[in-house]
Amino acid sequence: MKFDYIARETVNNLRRNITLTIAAIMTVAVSLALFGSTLLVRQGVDNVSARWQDGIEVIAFLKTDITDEQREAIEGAIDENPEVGDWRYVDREESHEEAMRLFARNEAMRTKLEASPELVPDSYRLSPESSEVNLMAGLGEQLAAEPGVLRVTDVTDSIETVVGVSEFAQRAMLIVGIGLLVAALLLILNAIRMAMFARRREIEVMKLVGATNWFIRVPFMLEGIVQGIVGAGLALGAVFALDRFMQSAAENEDYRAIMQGFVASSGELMWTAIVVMLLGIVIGAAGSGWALSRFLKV
Amino acid sequence: MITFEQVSKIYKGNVEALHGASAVIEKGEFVFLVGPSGSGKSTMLRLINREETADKGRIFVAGKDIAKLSSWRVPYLRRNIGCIFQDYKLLQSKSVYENVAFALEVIGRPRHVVKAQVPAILELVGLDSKTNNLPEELSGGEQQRVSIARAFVNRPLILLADEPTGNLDPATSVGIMRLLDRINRTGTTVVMATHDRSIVDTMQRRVIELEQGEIVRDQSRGVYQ
Repeated sequence: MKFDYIARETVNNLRRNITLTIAAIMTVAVSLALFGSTLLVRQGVDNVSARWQDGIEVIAFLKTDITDEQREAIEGAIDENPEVGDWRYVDREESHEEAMRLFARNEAMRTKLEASPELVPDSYRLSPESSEVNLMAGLGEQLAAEPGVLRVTDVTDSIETVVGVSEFAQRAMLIVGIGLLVAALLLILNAIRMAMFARRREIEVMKLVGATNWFIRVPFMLEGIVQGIVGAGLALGAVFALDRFMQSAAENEDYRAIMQGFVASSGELMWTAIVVMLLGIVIGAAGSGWALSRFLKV
Repeated sequence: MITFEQVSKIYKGNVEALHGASAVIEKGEFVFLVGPSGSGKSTMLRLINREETADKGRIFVAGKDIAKLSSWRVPYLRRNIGCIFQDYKLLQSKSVYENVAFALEVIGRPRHVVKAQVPAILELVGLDSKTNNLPEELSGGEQQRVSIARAFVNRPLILLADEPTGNLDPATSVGIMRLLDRINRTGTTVVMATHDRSIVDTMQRRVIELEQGEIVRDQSRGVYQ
């Protein structure tokens, strides 16, 4: 009886305000789609640029058979160089983890790396003293000549561009997303308020005959939460579509140099999906809760 | 059943609707509240089912100080109090049957109870032939009967009636009063606010008269005056 009643009333409320319901759901969907995309792109950018964080501009990968003397010689050369601002040594284990992240969705590569971890070399990572210094030209070439060094590589302009553009895009999406989230909250608030207004006589009678506050409130709470969940569901569709797009771009030979690793791992995708869904529920519950506390005195 | 101890109620804007009112209403009594508009009759009724709270004094209903009731207990107080009004407060989109059933459904009564009690109460109020009609298809007297059925279907201890005959012609009013009398005879305490002189004079029940928020007369077997 109770379940029947609550389900029936919730559906009736949603139907009665169909235009406002659709508006609320669409706004939730768009705002959460932007929000989810921001999270996803950020993870992609983090993954692709993980080794270039904190101003690292030059990486010297080491040979597997490097001797301690060769190491000391390299570290000495780095320490003596006034152009180096900061540097650190990244061991095999950390490098392996980084590579696994980079190839998050590339199963063949991951299997190969799991089988032979020595494929990923350890390295020294250097950041310049100031942005005017071109470390690669001076120290980079010097290190490349050291016997223990496998290869020296520097940050490419393309990665800097990807990171720069995506940071701007993320910020813009986040601001628009938050703005729309507030709009969604207000729309849900209004939808619930209209539903309560449409049912004011019933609410009056319910209070009069002794229906509990809980009983009066639940259909309205559910109405808001359903709007949040449906909106979040639509947003998830968009987020998964973006994920597919990022994955296919990462696999495309033409973009490989830049896009390699520009994917979120399946774990990160799941995490994003959970955050988007929870946000939808929270927005719905907050909007209807607000409406109830303001307009339904019991 | 109902006790008012020096009760005062002040609305916003310093309007004192009730001032130091004291009265004891026993179980099974039938009490008329009379007095001009704005004398505090409706306020007394609204205080009893805690639609309003007293600013001074204490009110006991069924032995409980209702000011001390936490807000989640208030609905349970109201399940013991039926209410009827001048404007019936029926739901226009629901049939006679559904209007009465609604009162049981929303307090979580099981379906078999609803199915058994609604037809019985509709028979009691004399509307068993109109169960599927909508309120707008009924006369004023019939609508008031539906509202009485809704108020009484849960067998409350107290029935509060705020000008129940205010919109009805004298002949129809007599029918409504017979029904309220019958409900009173089942042991239900009835408190009725009214302007209707002839009803009060004919019924010869206890009369509490209010004037500007004060009880100026409390007379068993009284008349309107």
